[in-house]
Amino acid sequence: MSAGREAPLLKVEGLATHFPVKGALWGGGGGVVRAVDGVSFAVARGEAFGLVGESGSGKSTLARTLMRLHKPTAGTAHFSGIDLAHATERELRPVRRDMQMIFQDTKSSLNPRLRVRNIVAEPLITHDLDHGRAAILALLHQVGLDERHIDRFPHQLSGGQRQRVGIARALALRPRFIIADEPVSALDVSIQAQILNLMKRLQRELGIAFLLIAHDVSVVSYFCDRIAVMYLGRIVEIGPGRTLMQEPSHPYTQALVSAVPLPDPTLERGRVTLRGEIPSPLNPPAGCRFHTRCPVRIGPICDDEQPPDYATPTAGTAGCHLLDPQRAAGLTG
Amino acid sequence: MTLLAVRGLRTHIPTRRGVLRAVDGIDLSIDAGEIVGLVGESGCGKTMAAYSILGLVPRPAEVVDGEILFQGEDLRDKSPEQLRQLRGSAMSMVFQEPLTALNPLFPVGTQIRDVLLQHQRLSQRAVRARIHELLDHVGIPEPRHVARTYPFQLSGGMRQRVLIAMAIACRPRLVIADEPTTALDTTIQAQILDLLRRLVAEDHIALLLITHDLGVIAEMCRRVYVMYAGEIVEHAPARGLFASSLHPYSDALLRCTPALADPDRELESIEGIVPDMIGPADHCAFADRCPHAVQRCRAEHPELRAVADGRHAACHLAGELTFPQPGQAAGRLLPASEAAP
Repeated sequence: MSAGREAPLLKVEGLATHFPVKGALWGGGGGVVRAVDGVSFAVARGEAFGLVGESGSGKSTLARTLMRLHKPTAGTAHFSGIDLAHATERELRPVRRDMQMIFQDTKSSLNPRLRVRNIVAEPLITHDLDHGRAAILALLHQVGLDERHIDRFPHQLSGGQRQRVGIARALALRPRFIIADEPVSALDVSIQAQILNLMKRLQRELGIAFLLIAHDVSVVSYFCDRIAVMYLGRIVEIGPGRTLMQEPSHPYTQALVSAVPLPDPTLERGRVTLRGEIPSPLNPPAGCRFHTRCPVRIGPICDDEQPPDYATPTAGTAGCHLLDPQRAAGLTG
Repeated sequence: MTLLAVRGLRTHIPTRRGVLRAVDGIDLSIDAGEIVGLVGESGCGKTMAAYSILGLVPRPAEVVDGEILFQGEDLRDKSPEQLRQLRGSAMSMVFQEPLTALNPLFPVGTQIRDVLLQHQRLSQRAVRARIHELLDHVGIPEPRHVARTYPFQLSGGMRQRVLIAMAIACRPRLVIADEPTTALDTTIQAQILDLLRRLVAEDHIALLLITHDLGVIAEMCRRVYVMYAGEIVEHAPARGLFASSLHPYSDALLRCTPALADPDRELESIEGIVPDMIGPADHCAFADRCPHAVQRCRAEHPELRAVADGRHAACHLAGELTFPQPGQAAGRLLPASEAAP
């Protein structure tokens, strides 16, 4: 749930990250990839916030922009009073302690030449903190590892154990906020459940806020208090994790949810099969980004006008002209 | 009519530490026009089972025992040349990663042509017509244009459609699809699953669908084989399996899968890791991770046996223990059309 009166931990407003593309060697004009194109949301202290979308929706670019691995083109992202979008490297340093990241590919995000104890110690050394064996062991215990793992190299661990090491490293600086980019998508379901439950425990016991980025709708709705659905660089719907995926309001969310295969053969579901594929962010459609594939497109208004965010029945917001209360009143009255 | 019947198939891999039993005595059958699921986690032997059926087992792995009856004939008696003729024409495979399964240096039309000419004598004109027909059949818009494109110019979903077109080019009776949608986005996955379902119905293909995704199994399959550590531990009609499983491993797998309709249900996880499948099979491979294991599980290997009508499980306690599932339908998931504003 959102934080009520308390100021949010992270407040993102109108954030955009564009990448210029050089013209091709054989002519052909350059352009701008609008990977993230005007995104606003807030994450409360201790909240698990989910960002779900398909490939090319811009969710990873958004995460990397928040970590300032990309410089945003426009907008602001306030975290503990600092605007991540405009702060200098020096101003960012204290924030970096508070914000940590967990990655998808544990093979490439852990240094293969370092032992587990050195991997976990690295952020502690960087910030001049106690990195003795006891401190490392305490961190490993927090993620369900122990003495047996402390001297191993990453290749001597299973995928699930490696992700635990990645989490221990993220915990080392006692962050208030962790960005987890597809942390379980490379893992088997049984291991995926272990890691999700571990993250849930850390969120509850240590009060760490999470930004979980995933393509798997079921994973996000299991883990998150609130969820934002991204499509082609924009957030199309935000709502509570418990109900958003059961009562989706935006036509894209509806199609996405109906496409998720559910482990219940007795369930009869109406499926919305989307035609075609996500358009290129190099030349995104005008108006509503989804109008080229939308099964319930109203008419020219969808092609020309970007829909504002309207309130949804699940106490969230969604950017779709169909949700315009005036339109609804006009249709019924 | 049974198209493929596999009995007691064993594929072993010699390693420095001993023989690895990648596939260890599995029975499996599939009829024409049927979609059968083979589900399990990575390393359980599902892909090796598929390779064994198609005669594609990479060295030093070797099929050491069992029979693979395809249209009544044992494929293990066939010569490599005979098998090569069968592959692509009577049986074919769709792989998980379409970018590595396609040759990056040739247009996709050329690659489909190669498959066609390998097995059929066709005129240039007939080949071209068939390529366009196939691309159209798998739902590719502008087949004439797409036939001339290279794999890198196509999206993941389009590449997978091309691979499916190649797999069905010579009208095979059996298609084995190994994680065909795992690399794809959810909405594209739905498109590809719809396509596979349509092909099975229209062309009367037998489809063996290999996946780790229980949701895909539930949507696509009538019957399911659950594989663990090289063995089939449960074989059941899909409805039966998802209503109440008979093997503790199937139960554990279902319980650790997040349920969209019921996000509040705590996920359970399976403690421990998959055994390494080296050494004698003298006990239940799941015993070390099984919350229900008794003395006998560690002393005696359980065989797959009929427990109830159409239901088989390889567990000493099968029949005594059943695992009713929490039920996804318990939470209500609106069909999207009803939820439309």
